[in-house]
Amino acid sequence: MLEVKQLRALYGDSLVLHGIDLKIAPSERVAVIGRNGAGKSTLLKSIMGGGPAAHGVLQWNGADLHRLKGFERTRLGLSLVPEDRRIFPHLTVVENLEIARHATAKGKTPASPEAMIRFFPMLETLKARFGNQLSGGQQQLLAVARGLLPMPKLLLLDEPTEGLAPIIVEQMAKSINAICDEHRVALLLSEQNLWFARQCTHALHVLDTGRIVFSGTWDEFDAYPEVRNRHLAV
Amino acid sequence: MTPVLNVENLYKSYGAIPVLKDVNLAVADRETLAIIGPNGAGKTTLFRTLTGEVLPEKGRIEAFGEDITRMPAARRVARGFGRTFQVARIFPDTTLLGNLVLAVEARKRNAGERLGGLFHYKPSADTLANAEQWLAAVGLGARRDMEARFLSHGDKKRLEMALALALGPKVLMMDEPTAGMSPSDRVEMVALVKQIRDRFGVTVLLTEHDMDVVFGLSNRIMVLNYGQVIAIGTGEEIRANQAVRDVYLGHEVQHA
Amino acid sequence: MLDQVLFALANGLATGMAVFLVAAGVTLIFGLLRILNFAQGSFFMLGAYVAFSIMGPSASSIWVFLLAALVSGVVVAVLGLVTDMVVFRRLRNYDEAYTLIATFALMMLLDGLIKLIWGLNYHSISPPPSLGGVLMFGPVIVPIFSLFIIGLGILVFIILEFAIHRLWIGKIVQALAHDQWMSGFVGINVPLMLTLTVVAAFFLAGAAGGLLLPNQSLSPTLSHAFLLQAFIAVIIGGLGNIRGAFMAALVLGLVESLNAVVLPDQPGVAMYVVMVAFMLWRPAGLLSAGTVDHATSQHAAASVPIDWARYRTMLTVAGIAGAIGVAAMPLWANPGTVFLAGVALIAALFALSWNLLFGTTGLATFGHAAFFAIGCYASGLMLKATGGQWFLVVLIAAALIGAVVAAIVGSVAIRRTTGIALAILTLALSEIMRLLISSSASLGRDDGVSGIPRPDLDLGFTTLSLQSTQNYFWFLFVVCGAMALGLWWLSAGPLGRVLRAVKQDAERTSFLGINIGRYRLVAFIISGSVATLAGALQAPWVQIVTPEAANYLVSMQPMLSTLLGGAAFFWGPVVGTVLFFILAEATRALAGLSEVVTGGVLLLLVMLAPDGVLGIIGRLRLRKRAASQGPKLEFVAKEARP
Repeated sequence: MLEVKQLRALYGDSLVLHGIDLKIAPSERVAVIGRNGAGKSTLLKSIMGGGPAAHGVLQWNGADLHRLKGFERTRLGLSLVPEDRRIFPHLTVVENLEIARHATAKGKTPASPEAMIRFFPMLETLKARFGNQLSGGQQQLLAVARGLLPMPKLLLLDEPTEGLAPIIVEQMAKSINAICDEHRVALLLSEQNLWFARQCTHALHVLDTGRIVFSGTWDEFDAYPEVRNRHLAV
Repeated sequence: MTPVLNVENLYKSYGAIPVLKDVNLAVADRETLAIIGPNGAGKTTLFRTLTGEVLPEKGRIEAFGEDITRMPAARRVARGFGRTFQVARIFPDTTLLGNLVLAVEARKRNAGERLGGLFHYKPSADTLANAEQWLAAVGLGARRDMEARFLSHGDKKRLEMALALALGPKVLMMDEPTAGMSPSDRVEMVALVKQIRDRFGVTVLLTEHDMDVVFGLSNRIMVLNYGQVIAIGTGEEIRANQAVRDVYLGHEVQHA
Repeated sequence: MLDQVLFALANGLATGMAVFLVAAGVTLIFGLLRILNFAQGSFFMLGAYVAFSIMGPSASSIWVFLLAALVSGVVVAVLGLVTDMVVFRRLRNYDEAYTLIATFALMMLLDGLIKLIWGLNYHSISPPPSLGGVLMFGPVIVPIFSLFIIGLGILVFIILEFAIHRLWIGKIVQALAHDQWMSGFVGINVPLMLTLTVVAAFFLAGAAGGLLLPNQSLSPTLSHAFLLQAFIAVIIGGLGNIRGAFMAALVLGLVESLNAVVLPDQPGVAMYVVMVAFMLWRPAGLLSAGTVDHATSQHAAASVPIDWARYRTMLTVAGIAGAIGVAAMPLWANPGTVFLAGVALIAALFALSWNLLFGTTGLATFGHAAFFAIGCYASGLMLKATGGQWFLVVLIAAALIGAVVAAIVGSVAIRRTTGIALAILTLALSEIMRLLISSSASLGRDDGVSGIPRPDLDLGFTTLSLQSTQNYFWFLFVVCGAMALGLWWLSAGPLGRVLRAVKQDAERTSFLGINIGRYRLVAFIISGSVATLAGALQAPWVQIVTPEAANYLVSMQPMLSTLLGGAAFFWGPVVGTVLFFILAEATRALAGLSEVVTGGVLLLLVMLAPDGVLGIIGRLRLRKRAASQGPKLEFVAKEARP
C-alpha cells in the first residue's frame, strides 16, 4: 500500500534521512523506534508532506505522493497525529473531531464523533470543552481520536505517549488496538516507549541517525540484544 | 534544623476550578524530591508557585526561614533558587561561553560585586575563567564558541543546567529534566544531576513523568492528584501505594 | 442640548461603522495570516479612487453608485490576490516587526502610485440623489447617508458574524487561523481557503472605499485618516476578532463624536486616550487568546553565522574613511547637500537610539517621534528665549526632559506591555502629543515655531559661533559621533549583554536573578533621552519646528533605516539612514515617485534580505567561501533526486 524507497530529507543543508526503505501493507502495524533526533518524526512528516523537502520514491498504491499537498494525501486515506498534538483551541472536542471528516478518503465513511468517543471513554465528559481547556493528556487522546475519525487506511502516529501518565498509556494502547482491529487500519507508530510500541505493533524498524539499522518482528528484536544496546542504549 | 523550603496550606484556583488544595510540604537540606501525578494534577502550578511565576491565593511559602510567598521570581533567584525549564531555555543567538558569561555576571551583580572598570566593556578574566569552568562541568567545554541554537535538545538541557548552576543555587528546581529525551540521554542526565548534586551539595526539586528517572534520582516522592497530596514517601512506599497505582502508575509493569 | 447629543450619537455611529468596514478587513487578514496590514488603508483609498473615476463627483443614481463600489471591490480584490501571492506568502514565517515594516513599505508604494495616477488634488463627492437628503426625528436632523452607512456596517457585521460562528466554514476559518499546518492534515484545502478569505477581506476594503466616498474629501491623505482608527479598533477588539472590532469601532466613533461636542478645541484626542487607557488596563487581553505560533521562525539573519571578526579591519577602515568624507563635506559639497547631510546625521542618531530598544533590547516602539518632537520644541523655544545663548545648557536640559518623560512613560508602559501592545501604545501616545501640540496656541498650532536662531557655543574659555552652516555642521558631526560611540560602548558592555539577553529570552533572564523590567526601563530612558537630544539638535539646524515632528511617519523613519541597514548590527541604522537619504534625494523630483521607489526598495529588502544591507554583504562573503570549499551541497541535492 505505502512504498518508500531511498527516501532522503534535508533540513537546510543537513541530511536528516539517509535513504529509508519501507513498505506497509493494508492493516499492517509497524513501529519505528529510535533515539531523539534519529529522524522518526521527520520520516512521518515526509510521508505526509509536512516536513522538510524530501526526495526518493514515495508511492501510495503505485501513485507518486510527492506532487500532492498535505490535504490531498489525507484524502487518499493517510492520517497523521503529530507529536505536539495540535488540537484547535477554539473548537470544542466534538468540533475538533468533526473537522477531521474533511480528511476522509473516497469510498470511506468517517466515524461520527460520538463513535470515536466510545473508543476513548475519557473524552465522554469533555465533549463541550474547548481545546484549550484540556490537559496535555486529554489533548493527546483527542489528537489520536481525531486522526482516526476519517477511518484512514494508514495512521501515522508520532510519539503519542510522550509526557503521559502510565495509566493513560495503558488505556491508549487498548483503544488504538480496538479500533485498528475493528476497522483494519494500518499503523506506522513512532515511539520511544518500547512497552507501548510492543502492545500496538507486530514488527518494528530501528532508526539511527536517519538510517534503518534493523527491521524485524519483536521476537527477532529480542533475539538480537546488541541492536538494542548499540542503537537504543537503554 | 529549619527545612530549606516549607510550604503551608497552599491554595490556588483558576476561575472556579481549584488546582492546589491546601498543599503542605517541607523540603530538607540536600534531599532530592520529585513531584509526580497525572496531567492536570497541579504539579506545574505548584512548581510555579515555588519559583515565583504564579502567586498562590492562600498559604505561605518559606525559604530558609524567610517568607517568600509574594517575592518576585528574580529575587528568589538571588536568594538561591535556580530553575530549569521543560523545554530548555537558553540564549540561542549567543555563544555557549557568552551564555555562561551572562550567568556569571548576573551572580556577581546579585552579590553586589563590581563587573569591571569604566573602560572595561569586555567580561573580566575572572568571569571568563569561571564561565569556562561551568561549561566544562556539564561537558560542553569544547564547544564554547558555538552559538547555542545549534546544540541538540539534550545538550541545550546541559547548557541550561550550567546556566542555573553558575548562579550558585542552594535549591535547583527542574521542570521535567528529561522531557523529550531518548532513554540513553535520560540515563546520562540522571548521572549528571546526581554528580552535580553530590559535588555542590544542592537540594533538588523536580517534576518528571519518566518513572525510571523519578525512582532513580529522588530520595522522596510526592504524588499530587486533583490538587491534593495523596502520598509522600520513598520510592518503595510510593510503588506499593494502592491509591497511587489507581490514579497514576497503573497496574501493568511497563518495562519492555 | 439633547438634540446636540442625539446628533452626535448618529454621527458617532456612522463614523464607527465606517471604521468597522476598514477594520473588518484588517482583522480578517491578521487572524488568518498573522500580518497586521498597514496597507489596508491604502487599498481602501484605492477603492475610493476607482469608484470616483467611474461615477465622478456626484453619482447620477444609486445604481451607478452601487455599481462603482462593486467594481472597486473587485479591482481591489484582484490586486489583493496579487499582493497575497507576491508579498504576504513570503512574510508568513517572519517576525511580526518585519511584517509590519513590509506592509508599511507596501503602503508607501500604493500611496505613491495613487499620487502618480490621480494627482494631489482634493475632490469633494456628494451622495447619490436618493441618499442625499436628511431625515428629521423631532428636533434632530440626521443625513440619510449616515443612516445608509450605519445600516451597511450592521449588515456586514451580521454577515461575517453568521459565517464565522454559525456556518461550518467558520469553523474551518478558525482552524486555519490557529494552525495552518495541522489544518492541512485534517483534510482542509488550505491554499484555497486562505486565498478566498484574503480576497474577501480585500474586496471589503475596496467596496468600503467606494461606499464611504460621499461626504469625504478625497485626496491622497484619505488612507491615513482611516488607518489609525481602524488599527485601534482592531487592537482594542482583540486581534483577529470580528465581534471585538465591531464593538470597539462603535465605541471609538461615539468617543470621537462626543469629543467634538465636549472638547471642540482638541479634535481626535479622546480616542487615543481611550486607547491608551485600554492598553494599560488589559495589555494581555489584546492578543486574542491563543496566538501560540507553531510556525518556526525561519529568520535569515538568525540562521547565517557570519565571522565578522574577519572583516573587522576592512569595515573599520571603510567606516573611518566614510566618516572623514562626511566631516569634510562643507569643503567639497554644495550647501544644499551639506544641509541634507546634517539632517541625515541627526536622523542617524535618532535611528541608533531607536535600535537600542529594537535591535538590542527587543522592544519595538512606534512612537519614538514623540521624543524627537519634545527635543525640537524644547530647544526651539529655549533658544528663542535666550536669543541663541546657553546652547550646551539647552541641549543638556532637553536630554534631561527626554529622560524624565521616558522614565514616566516607561515606568507605566514598559512594565505593562511588550510586543504589538507596546508598539500600538507608544503610537497612540505620540499621536496624542501631536494633536495636543497642533491645538495649542502657545506652541503655534499647526504652524509650529519658526525663526529659531542658530546658537553660539559658549565653552567657558572661548565662544564658537555656530551661525554658519559650516560650523553648525561640524558641531553636529562631533555631537552625533560622540553620542553614537557612547551608545556603542553601552551596547558592547555588561549593560548591552543583559539587554541582548532580555531580547532573546526575557523569562530565562529573570531566572538569572535579573530584574528585566528595570533593565528595559533603563534602555527606554537612554533611548528616549538620545532621541530627544537628536530633536534638540535639529531645531536650530532647520530653524523651524512643526507638529509634524511627532507624526507617526517620523516614528517610522528610524525603523526603516534600521531594517535597511540591518537591525542585528550596531551600525546598521547608520548605513540604512545614509542609503535612505540618497534614495529619497535621487527621486525627489516627482510627487509620488519618491514613495513608489522608496516603498518598493524597502519591500524588496524586507522580503529578500531581512537582515539588511550589512547582512547581504555578509551572506555574499559566506557564499563565496562556501563555493571555494567545493560543491558539497549541490552534490547531495543531485544525489538525492531519483
